[in-house]
Amino acid sequence: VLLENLTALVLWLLVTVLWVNAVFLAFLIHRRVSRKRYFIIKDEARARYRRIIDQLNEGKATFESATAMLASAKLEPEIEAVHDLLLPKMESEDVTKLLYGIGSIERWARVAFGRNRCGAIVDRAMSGESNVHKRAKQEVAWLHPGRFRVTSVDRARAMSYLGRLYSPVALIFASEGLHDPAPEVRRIAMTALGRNRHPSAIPLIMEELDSTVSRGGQEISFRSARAALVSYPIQHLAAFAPFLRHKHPRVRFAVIDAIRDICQRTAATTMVTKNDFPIEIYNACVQEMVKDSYVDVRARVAGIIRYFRDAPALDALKSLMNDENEFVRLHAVRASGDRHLVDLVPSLAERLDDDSWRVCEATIKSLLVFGDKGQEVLFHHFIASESEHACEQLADELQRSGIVSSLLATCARDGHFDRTAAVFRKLTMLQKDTMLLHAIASPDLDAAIRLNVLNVLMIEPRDEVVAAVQLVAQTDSSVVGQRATALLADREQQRGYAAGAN
Amino acid sequence: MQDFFLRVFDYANAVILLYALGANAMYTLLMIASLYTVTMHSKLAGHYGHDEIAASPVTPPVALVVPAYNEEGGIVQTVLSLLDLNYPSKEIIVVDDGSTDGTLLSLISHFQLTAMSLAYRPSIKAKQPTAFYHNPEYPELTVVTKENGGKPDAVNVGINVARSPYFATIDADSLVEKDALLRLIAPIFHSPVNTVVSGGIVRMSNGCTVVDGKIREIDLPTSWLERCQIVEYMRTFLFGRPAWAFMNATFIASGAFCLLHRETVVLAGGYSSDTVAEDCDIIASVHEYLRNKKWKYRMVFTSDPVCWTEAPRTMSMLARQRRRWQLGLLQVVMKHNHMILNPKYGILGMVSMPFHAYIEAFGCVVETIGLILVPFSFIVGAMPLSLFLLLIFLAFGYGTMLSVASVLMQESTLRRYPKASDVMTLLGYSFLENIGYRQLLSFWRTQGVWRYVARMRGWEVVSKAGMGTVKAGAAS
Repeated sequence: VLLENLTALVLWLLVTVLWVNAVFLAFLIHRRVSRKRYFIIKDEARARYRRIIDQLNEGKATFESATAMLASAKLEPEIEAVHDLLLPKMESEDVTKLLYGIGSIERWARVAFGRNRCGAIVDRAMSGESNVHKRAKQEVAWLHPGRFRVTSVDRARAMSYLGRLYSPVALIFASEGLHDPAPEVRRIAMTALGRNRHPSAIPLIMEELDSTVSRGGQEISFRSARAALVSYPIQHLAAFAPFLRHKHPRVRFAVIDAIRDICQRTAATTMVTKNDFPIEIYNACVQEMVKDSYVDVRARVAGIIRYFRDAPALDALKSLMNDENEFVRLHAVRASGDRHLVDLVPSLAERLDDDSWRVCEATIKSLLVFGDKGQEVLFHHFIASESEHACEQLADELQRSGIVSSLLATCARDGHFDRTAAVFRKLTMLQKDTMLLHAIASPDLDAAIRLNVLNVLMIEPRDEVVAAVQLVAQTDSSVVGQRATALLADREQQRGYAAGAN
Repeated sequence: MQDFFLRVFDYANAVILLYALGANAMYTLLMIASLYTVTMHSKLAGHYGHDEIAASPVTPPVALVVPAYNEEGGIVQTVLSLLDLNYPSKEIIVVDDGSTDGTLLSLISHFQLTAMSLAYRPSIKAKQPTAFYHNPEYPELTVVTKENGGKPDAVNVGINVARSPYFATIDADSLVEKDALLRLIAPIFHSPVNTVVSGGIVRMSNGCTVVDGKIREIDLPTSWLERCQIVEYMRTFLFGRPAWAFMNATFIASGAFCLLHRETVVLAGGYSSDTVAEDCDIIASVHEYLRNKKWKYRMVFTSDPVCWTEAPRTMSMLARQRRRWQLGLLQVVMKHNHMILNPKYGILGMVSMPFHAYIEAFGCVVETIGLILVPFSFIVGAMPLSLFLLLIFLAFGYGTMLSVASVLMQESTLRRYPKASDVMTLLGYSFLENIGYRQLLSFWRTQGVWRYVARMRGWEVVSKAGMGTVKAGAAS
């Protein structure tokens, strides 16, 4: 019986595998062929419909006639071609109306919200209503069929298109999308709200953020919600103000961090001053957030206060630079690296000896922002400091930022060679002299520079330095090699005297 | 006496049959799960908001750690491809692990690097760096040199030098697609749970045209050995890994291109040198650490970020590679064997680790014995024809379904081979690789098991020709 069953099993398996292989092959070939046909139709449609869109743009066709002609696209590749042509300009009002006219918006809405709800939502969106209705969120059961990807992917894609439409229209769709049972759809709706930047959507995003923080992150990611907030322009900061006093510290942190990022992005193109901030935000930052119990809030608020640039702001930054928490100090010194905050240079200099090397590193980078003034502070501190880790960090940044290279390049004609020599000397004492050793061994470098460096290196040299100088003496026949030989001879002589004296 | 041998054959053949049925059933389940996840992922691929991620200040910085040992041929191309990556904030750390060729010199001369004495503050135990190289004109790039200590040690040095919250390990002979890092970070960005590992797909560059660190033209290599490997890579990356990631039970994430959370790796003790599969070991260590701490986490696999790597071109090099992989897998499985069938580790402990231990690690021994014993048993009359046919079918025939499905999956999702003729060739190899190639792999893998048993733990070096401006397939 077993043998008979085995024979049957073999046959059954063989047939199944052959059948599955045949299905896979057929599917693959069908896909190749159908995709080829699909793209031929799409290319033809694209060429055909581009002419219509161009005519509309040039005023040679009326909106109604263009809509009627584009609506003639019935096949899937033709509709895709129309969407591809319109997609780059979907956010414009005319294109949105065009998409509405040809039925695309209704088609997407039907997929995203279902047949029953889509009519009302589309009507509301297209009626020009620009405010969202906030309604209570409903708990979604874990086994709700709408949660699963197999059912939600199409809704997510539809939401992605709806979220790119003309801002007031997209706002309605995206705000409705936040009530979808699938996190994937809500995430896309959230991104759309961020792209949309309508102030009335801020409470909705905050509600999602609150839900993410309170429910332990089963829904939309904290980063996605924060990214949506960061997209807003600085003109809408007033809408953030009510959430600065949110009971949950992570929400306060998200708001503060979003404001900081908005300011930073704006400052890259225009000057940000305290006049750009609503008074509620100014007061909250300078008076309350600097003392917030949550470290992340205190840390991130420094990045906002830096733009206020008045006496209370400078005092707040100074106090944050002296905060007990390393992370807060780190952010405060980073925020203080601003050419308009030159009064903070002495406070920054104090942080060069911070116990944390990260704070020290950030301080150096901030001081470098102040140009020559900051560099002078760094040189002075580097030469004078006895803090090993501060000096190590300074040596690190002096090399990385190219300062040592420029000191090397200019040391032969620099009027301040004493200071340069002292920097080189300190680098040698810290055994951070790789660049200097490399310089004396580089025949392409100016001889005067190499001689200067050689002289500094041979003041109480350690064995590795002596070995490097010996190599120069042996291999270099120029004036540098001769000087190296002379310095080595002097050293031997001194050692001989010292041995004799002993 | 004859009865005794017949009984032994019976038992052995029963084990082989059970193994073959179990393994193929498991592969079929993985295939179904992968078809679902990869299809869903590709349907939504254009809607992950990569542009938003690239522009967002919320996107976390990433350190790209490139351990390099004697990679003179391809290291510059690799670094160029990394510098060109579309990512808002990245640092590139090349760790020269005591190369004896011109790896360091080629980097110094191409990027005009200067030796510097930089600070080094290790958070993971590793050999001390001997020098740092940097050029302020390439602020993202730092080259670190150290005494040879193996790949895990080099990666640990890279982690110690890195400042970013996430790091990606990238093999020095690999090329990464421009948007690959964005695609790799996207699941981390959108995940509501702490995502500590994000793995990407690795493809073979053999046969492709590489110019300035970029794949310009995708083509198939000419030799059968490389073509069989292409089908095998597809099967590995499109089948097992998406399915395991779907169950949050990832056990292997290719070290050639994988993103990890730096602090978690540091807490888990960093990369360990006691196995030759450090990429697999770190995943198991991270799982173990986080499960013991009862922290919520995810490990994800994304089927569209692509890293191109050069696969061995000769039998001897392929044999070395597979022996090493098998040895490494065994070492990792044995090192973490307390997790096997341990309910504390969830699906990882109850399904993924037993699968990797009994089917992936030790299964090759059963396969190799079966390849000898099954025909022998049949010839001496100890096995009926039906059973013989079943086993032969399971050994040679069933795998074709998995291979064809993997070609189908790549065709319906990634479509990296635009020419129809290439796809047809791959389909042909989906059948051909089951006859000869897979049996050879079983044999080499069994040698790997033997190396484990015989305690031959050395790292077998696989030399590669390197990628250049000419067709990589002709570069040798």
